[in-house]
Amino acid sequence: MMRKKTPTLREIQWGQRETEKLDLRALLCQASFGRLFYSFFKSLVGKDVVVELKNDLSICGTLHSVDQYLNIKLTDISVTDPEKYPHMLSVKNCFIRGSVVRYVQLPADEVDTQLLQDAARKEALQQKQ
Amino acid sequence: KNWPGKTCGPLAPEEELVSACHLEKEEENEGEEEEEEEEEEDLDPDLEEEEEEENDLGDPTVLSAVHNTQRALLSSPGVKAPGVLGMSLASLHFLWQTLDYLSPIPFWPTFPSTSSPARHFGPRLPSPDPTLFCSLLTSWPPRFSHLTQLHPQHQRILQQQQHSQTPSPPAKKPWSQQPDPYANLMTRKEKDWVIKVQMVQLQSINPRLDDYYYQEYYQKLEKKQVDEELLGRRNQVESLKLVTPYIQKAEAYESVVRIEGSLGQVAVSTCFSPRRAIDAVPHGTQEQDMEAASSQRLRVLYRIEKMFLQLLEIEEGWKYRPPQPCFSEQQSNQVEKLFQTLKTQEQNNLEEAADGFLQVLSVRKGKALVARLLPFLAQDQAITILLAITHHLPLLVRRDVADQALQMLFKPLGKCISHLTLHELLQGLQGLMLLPPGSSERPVTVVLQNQFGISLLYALLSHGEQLVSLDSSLEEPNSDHTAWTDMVVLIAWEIAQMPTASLAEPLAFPSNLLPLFCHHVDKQLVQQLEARMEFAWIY
Repeated sequence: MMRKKTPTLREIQWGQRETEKLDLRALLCQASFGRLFYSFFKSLVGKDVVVELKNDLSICGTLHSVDQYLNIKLTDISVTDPEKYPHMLSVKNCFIRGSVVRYVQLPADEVDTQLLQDAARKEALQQKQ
Repeated sequence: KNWPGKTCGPLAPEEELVSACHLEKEEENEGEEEEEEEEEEDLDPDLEEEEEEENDLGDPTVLSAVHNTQRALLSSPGVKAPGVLGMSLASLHFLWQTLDYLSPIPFWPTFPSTSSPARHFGPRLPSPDPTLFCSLLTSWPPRFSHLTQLHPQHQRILQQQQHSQTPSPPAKKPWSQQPDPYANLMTRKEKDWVIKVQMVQLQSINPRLDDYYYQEYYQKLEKKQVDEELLGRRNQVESLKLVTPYIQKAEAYESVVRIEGSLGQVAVSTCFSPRRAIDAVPHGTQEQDMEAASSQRLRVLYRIEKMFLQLLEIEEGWKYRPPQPCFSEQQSNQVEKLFQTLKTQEQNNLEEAADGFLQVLSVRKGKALVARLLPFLAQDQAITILLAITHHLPLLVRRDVADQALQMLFKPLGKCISHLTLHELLQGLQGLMLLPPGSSERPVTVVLQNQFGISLLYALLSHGEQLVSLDSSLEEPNSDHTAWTDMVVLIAWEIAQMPTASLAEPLAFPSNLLPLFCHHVDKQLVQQLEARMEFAWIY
């Protein structure tokens, strides 16, 4: 008699469909150079960056941390554009979800482009394997 | 009905979802209860997306991290009930060990046996000492607590930054004096615990590979700092604060568009067509014959990438070699293989082979590849490359006008110049002095106008002079010597012919060059040369 596969906790809670969705999301953060960009942004922790969001808001601040989804935490922020976002005046630190970021402007001398190329080559090779 | 996992103060239902219900489920029947409650509270799985947006306590990352951690824990053998506390001691130990790796202090000292599971998992452990828990991160760099895996060089830089920053924040942003009603919903240790759970996900077996960019970057910085300290010069250059560049919008862009007769405004810019900050769109028309050229270019680029993978392997093998100063046989084979690929030895036609090599050198990536490969090559292999470059120098110089990347080859080539014999040197240089048919200009003139070209030429001449001066003890009229003399005279003449403005500034000016010219050339010419090389005397 075939034994039914024991459902995992997540499957019980969310059902199989949602579990697959969650798995896929976890996978996506690794796929297409996810690991590379996490590593890259980690090296920029402590540097000043400007994050432009998809809603056209640009936030300048010091990069405090980043995670594998490229969610960004900034400290000592200021809104770079003329202050048409007055509700941001009192905000000191912020957390930005990775998926809403459009651009991140970086200090050029903190980036080693040669190393970035090599890291991309390695990651592409890993993905192929 | 008391939600079984209530660990914190008043929480919104979404937040309870994150912190409580994944952790506290123990048995199937309780699971059923919770499902009922889920319906009551309208926690439809499909709402998951929105919940995460609004939920500012729980990162979506944390949500997944908790899931993944649980999966990891539950997948170990010996798990009976879908409750965290039904797991085996082995998997607990695993978790403890991995977190131990993260922090200097053990995370959970002891854990109650599985037979009498504690009700709660996480910060509210009944037996372990909570004070141990909270002392975890206070000793660590407080501002960057959850990035505990910082490279020491990175830590040093961050600490320097902290010290140099003004202690008092500008008065521009005063904190509100009113008490924050949302403060302290989670204690510090609870927050840290949640972050730790997330970080467990990021544990990797092979950080050198998974975290390649970060590790290499800070290793390089460390090495650079060590080198600078050795040389006695410490650059006091402060890292510049990022200045937001004012981006000139290429086209007029209206973010909001009013359509006639419509009631509202339409936002034109979307995440699929955002404001263009980088002009990465290639301009220019593609003609018929351009297509062949571009496909050829793609083929060359593809070849270069394949060679780069080989080069990276060689470099990696060299960096982490066992403590012997020379190559292992495997490494020599790898280098040989790469060299053959570069020389395109498969081509039977010598000219095609040379062409392949030149195509590689015509691309910036290719130059970088050769520059990095040269230190690994055997002497004869390196000399082959040096002579090939010297022979085709005018062509390479012409193709490098856009990139200006030949400079990166200067240092590695300079090292192999010192291994040239006089005969090889003459062979290389003679090609530059031949008048091509139907032209009154020698190839060397193009070379003299290019920085890399003139630097290479000077380096070759300097080496030639060294060889000849060492050899002069023979006192025999050598054909090579006469050829050498003629060569020097001709080059001196060419330099003198060139207007000073067109003469490129060399990367390095060898000290024996002017004496060399003085030796072979008449006074008038020497004066002209001196006038042109005047700026070189500043060195």
